[in-house]
Amino acid sequence: MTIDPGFDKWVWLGFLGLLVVFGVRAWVVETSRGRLTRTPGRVRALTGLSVCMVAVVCGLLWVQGGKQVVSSVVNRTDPITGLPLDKPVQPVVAPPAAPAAPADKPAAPAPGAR
Amino acid sequence: MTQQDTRRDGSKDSEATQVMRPVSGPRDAVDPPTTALPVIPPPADQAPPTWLERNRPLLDRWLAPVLAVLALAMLPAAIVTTDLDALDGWGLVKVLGAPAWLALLFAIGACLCELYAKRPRIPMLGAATGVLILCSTGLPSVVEPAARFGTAWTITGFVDAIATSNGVPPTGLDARFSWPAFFAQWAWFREAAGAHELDVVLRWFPPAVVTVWAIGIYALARSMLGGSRAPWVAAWLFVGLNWIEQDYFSPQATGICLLLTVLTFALGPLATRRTDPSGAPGWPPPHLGAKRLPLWHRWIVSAGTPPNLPTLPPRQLLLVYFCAALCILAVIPEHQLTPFAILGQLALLAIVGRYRGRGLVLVGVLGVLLFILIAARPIWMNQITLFIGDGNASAALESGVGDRLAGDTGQIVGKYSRILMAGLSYALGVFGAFVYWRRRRDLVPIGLAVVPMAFAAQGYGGEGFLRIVLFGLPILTILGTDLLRFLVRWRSGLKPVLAVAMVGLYVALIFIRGGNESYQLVYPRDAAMYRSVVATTPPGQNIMPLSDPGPFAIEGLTIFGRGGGIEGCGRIASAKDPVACIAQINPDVIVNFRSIEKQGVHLYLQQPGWSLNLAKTLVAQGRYTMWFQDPTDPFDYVLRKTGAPVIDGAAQGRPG
Repeated sequence: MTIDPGFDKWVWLGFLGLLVVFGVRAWVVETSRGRLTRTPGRVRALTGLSVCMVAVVCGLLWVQGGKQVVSSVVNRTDPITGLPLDKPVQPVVAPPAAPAAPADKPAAPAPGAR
Repeated sequence: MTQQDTRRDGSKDSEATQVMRPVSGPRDAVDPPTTALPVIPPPADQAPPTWLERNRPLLDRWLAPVLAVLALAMLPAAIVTTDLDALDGWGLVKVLGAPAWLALLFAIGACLCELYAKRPRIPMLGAATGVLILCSTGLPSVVEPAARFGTAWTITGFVDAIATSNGVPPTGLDARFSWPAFFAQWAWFREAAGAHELDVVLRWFPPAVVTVWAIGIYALARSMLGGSRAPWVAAWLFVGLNWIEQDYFSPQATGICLLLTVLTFALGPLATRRTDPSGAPGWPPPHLGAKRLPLWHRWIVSAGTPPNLPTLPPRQLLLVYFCAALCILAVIPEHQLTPFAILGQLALLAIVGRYRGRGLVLVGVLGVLLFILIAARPIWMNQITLFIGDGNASAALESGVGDRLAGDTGQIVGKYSRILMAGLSYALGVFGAFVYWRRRRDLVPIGLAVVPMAFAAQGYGGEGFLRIVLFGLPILTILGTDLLRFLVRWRSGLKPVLAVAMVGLYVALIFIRGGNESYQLVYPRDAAMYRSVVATTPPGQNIMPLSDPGPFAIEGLTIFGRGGGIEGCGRIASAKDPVACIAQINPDVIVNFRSIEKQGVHLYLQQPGWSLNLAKTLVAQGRYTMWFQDPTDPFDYVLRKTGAPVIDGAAQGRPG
């Protein structure tokens, strides 16, 4: 799977949005404490939005390298080549060249040549 | 009840004393005049107060400041009486003069005098702690002419590389550039200050950063232990047990500051417990004398009880959230291990419901994932084993501890002492955890100290196993302090014993931390020599030292090669055939310092003078010429390949 570095900015923006939503939720939760009351509707809405933002950021991270890293860690393979890390890679040896065909008999000298 | 004016009739003097008394008749003569306890006269045969008792207020006031000033006054004499040229495998402890030891004793005395005073003064305790740090951890900074430890100098090279490339970290040079925040931060400081080097910062960084750590330990211990004396003891115990030497000019030193800040927030203003408002954990028993609920039942009840709320006002709580999140996000691009230590400890605290603001863990985890996957992409693409290790914890232990048990007798003793000190830290922590559990029925703190041990299986470098002790040390020392407090309350006669133990601990600290001083010592002339090499060498050439110590690569990191890459020739000082290694690496310039010579002798058991003999051999072969040799120290030399071009340093100016 090829990673598009140009897409990284959306991951950064997604994380920034997540921080903003978390901050707003913390503000609303801490400034509207009540005793023996139900969770206010706006807190529940912000909680839902936070969950959505976390899911979005996780999805973006999965696309932008997470899948590749998980695959490498689980299978212990190199992220680029996909070759196993634990087994030394055998150097590629060129197959022995086929025995050369016997040389043709020298052509008969042209008549008149010395 | 009404009152009447008792001024004499006719007296118009408004200045006269006015006594107000209740309007009532004369006191009943039967009533006792007071219900206070009668004054018991002292027994006639009481012994007169001793000199100490009579002068206790005076001593409490003046003894600690006088001892602290005496400790500071000893330091100039310590510089003069320390013979750094005599350093060998036993390190600093063997060459320190009597004034240095007196300074340490006076500093410890100042701390203990103020601690045992009737009313300890916080400013005086803080000042005494500062003097203690300067006379113990900071002693090398005082008695040595420049910053010790070659790695600290190398990090200034990283700072220089970022400063000279306008804030862009170079790629493909070193994995540490993937976590560039510390280097970028100091490059910015350097540029803002208009400075060209950080030599002075480097020299005084260890005592300064340990002072910040001690403040963090004090704040943490105030939350966990309470009291007015125990938090200071915790700070001193931390300084005394901190042999790990990660307080040099490095990202992890700053990372520990941020870790302590976050932990202080979590265990201080954000701290909660799963208790009912009366403070009783779980449900109260149904009736007096009822059988206690089974343990599993109490656990379930505890898990189902929501944590109580911190007592801070909402806006202060929000400010603390913001600062904690900022610290977590700041440490992520700064150091590769510290974020995992913070998040591991925060996750444990969140599971057991010990702080409000569990979203901090989520912010940290997503921040780490984001940074590693996006910003550090080249690292995991090319060196995935840095993250997943090789799965062999015993090999990591062997490389982190076992392989380091090398050198002459002094080196071996010093390294075994490090292991003993780490064992002492954990023993104090474990016994302290038992005391803490008896007092507060709480085992979470020892969990906080153990969580960073998960790094043992991590394959980053050889020092991973040593560093993890540092991540757990703050909590271990606080638990250890609880143990010491218990012992003193149990047997007050143990106070002098513990005072002597403190002296022993700090002597051991100087021995262990200064154990490698023979090859960690750096002279200003070493740095000047390397800078002259950088100024006179054409870009693109390979400059190679014979080993790690010394101020190497402090400038020009991006414009010179460093050679290397040959199996078995990583350090020429420990190579079996140095001449053959140099022939294979084929550097253009070879740099040597006295510290490299000493490392070869005391750590790799080479013959004294091995580096000079190597230089003579290379010169005799005609491959290299001696370009520079310090007239005061023949081990400081520079070899250049015969015929290699040299440029005019004065004309070139600063590299990069």
